Amino acid sequence: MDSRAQVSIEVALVAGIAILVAVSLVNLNFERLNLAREVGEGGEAKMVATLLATSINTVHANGRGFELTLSQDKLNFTELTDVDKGTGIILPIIIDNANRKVIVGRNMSRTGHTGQWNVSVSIVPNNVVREDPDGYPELTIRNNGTNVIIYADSSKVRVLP
Amino acid sequence: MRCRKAQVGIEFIILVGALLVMVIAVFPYILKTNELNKALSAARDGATFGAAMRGVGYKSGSVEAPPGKIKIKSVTLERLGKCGDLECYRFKIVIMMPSYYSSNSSYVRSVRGTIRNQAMRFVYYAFYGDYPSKSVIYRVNTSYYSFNATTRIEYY
Repeated sequence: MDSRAQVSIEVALVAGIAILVAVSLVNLNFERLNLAREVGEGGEAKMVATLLATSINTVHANGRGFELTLSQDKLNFTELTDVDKGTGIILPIIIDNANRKVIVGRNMSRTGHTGQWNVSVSIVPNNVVREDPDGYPELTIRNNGTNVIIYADSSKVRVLP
Repeated sequence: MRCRKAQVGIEFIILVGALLVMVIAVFPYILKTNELNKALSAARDGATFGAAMRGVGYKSGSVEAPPGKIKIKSVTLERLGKCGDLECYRFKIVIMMPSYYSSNSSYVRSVRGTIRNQAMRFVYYAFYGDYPSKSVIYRVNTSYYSFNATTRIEYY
């Protein structure tokens, strides 16, 4: 009789039971990683809203003729909207004049949600308007003395009255 | 001629065999305890995630969600007795938030709902490997247990 084979079977049984218990915890740990990432990207999306709100406030506060442009390296919509590699922002970004808010929506499909979750940041002016970026670089924000104008495509930024 | 390796092997077999018998004897208990621990861990993860996202200011649907310091103080399990063939347990989630929220009852109700729901969704995920198709989930049944959740607010 080969004693080595006897030992192997018993050790395999004990190890098998241990593996069963360990495997049951694997999906929990992977999901924990996803959660940390979701919260981090949620923070990034809010930073986008904060950046836009701060820019609008700055242009409003500096008066007629002041303008600034948010360049691609500050707000890159291709990267921001990518669910897997980016932040998962859902366009358009909403600027709500009535409630004086910049609202950014996020795709929450990674945590099983079908709808979007929104985050908002307050702004000071309630006279923001959008115009197509003809003659101005995209995401230029300008104060013409009457309104704060944001030059962006309607698929990227939407202004509510 | 006696083989010395076989002698050692028999002693080892006895030892491992005894260990095996002990493991098999307690295996159902290990499975049940493992299920409880797994559920509690998942509920903590879900509640913390819900609190973090609401704390940042996120909300599904409308955006009447002021950001603030929302924290999970504790998530504990309370045994409720038998529900049919399963044992019923309830997660008791204690949420901490600033006292100035106490006047905004709709916001407080909304935060409680989000955190409770996120906890239950993660419990569901832990046992079924996918998120539930329903957006709101009140109960999760497993092999041995049936879980639901309740929340309590503490202001600071």
